[in-house]
Amino acid sequence: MKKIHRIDALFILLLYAMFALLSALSVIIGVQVYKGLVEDSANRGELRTALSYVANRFRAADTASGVTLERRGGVNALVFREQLAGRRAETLIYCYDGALREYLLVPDLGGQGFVPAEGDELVAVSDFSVTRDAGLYTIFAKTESGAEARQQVFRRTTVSG
Amino acid sequence: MKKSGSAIFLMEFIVVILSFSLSVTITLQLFVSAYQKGERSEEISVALLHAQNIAEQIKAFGSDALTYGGWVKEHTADGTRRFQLVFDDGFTAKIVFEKFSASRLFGVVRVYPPGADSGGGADEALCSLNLSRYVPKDTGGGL
Repeated sequence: MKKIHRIDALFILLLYAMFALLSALSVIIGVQVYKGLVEDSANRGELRTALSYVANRFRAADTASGVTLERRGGVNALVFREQLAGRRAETLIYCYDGALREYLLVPDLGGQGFVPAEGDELVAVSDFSVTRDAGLYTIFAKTESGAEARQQVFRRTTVSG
Repeated sequence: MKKSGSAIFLMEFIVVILSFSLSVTITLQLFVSAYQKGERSEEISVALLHAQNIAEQIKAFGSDALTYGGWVKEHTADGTRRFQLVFDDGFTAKIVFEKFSASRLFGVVRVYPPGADSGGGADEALCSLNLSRYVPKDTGGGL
């Protein structure tokens, strides 16, 4: 009789262990799926938001000297020119130290020149490039995780540089 | 007849496990559904980017954009002009110029997911973008 009770108890313990294991598994799988979805979505979203931002800067700067591709401070940069409160301003967008960065330069105010490392970080990227075919600009960016995106923008105004 | 305490506990526990199995089945289905929706959302984003890029190319070069870059012209009996391009990532873009006047180019660009039937209709498209571009008479349009 005692032996039967012992088997009963063992069986219940086994069931309890199974229950606990399955509960833990379900939570772990759920967390991984959720984490994966959120991470993927955030990575791709960030990359595309950054590209859209750059593309819209292009559209906003559709004037003859509104934007040029230049080499400044040892990096290839997109230079957007505009007037801010009557002062000439340049916004540089470039890839430096694993990130797409933006640097606002107001030459009329003096101060130090362009320092690539001090630009504001827009998004972490491993590769960023801009190519031009006539008025069509192709902006390409790639992240460390391998996600990449390419956005094209047509500018009506022809530019040099 | 009196049942032992462990037998009652066992029965209760089996009911708990059954309900747990049911909830796990539903939860797993939700996870799978969430994953599929995430993938679909990603496909739509990529398709939209492709469609936007095509629109920008046509804005830049007009119908000349379709004469290079791997576009294949499809011959149709109804007189519409159709072009198809398969991207490196497997997405397929189709442009149908439904109306074509001497001075304007009207068309629809649709992007299909990788592995989609190449003869897929508008319903299977991930996104659809209307195109309209002024084409000066002298430049023709070259379609």
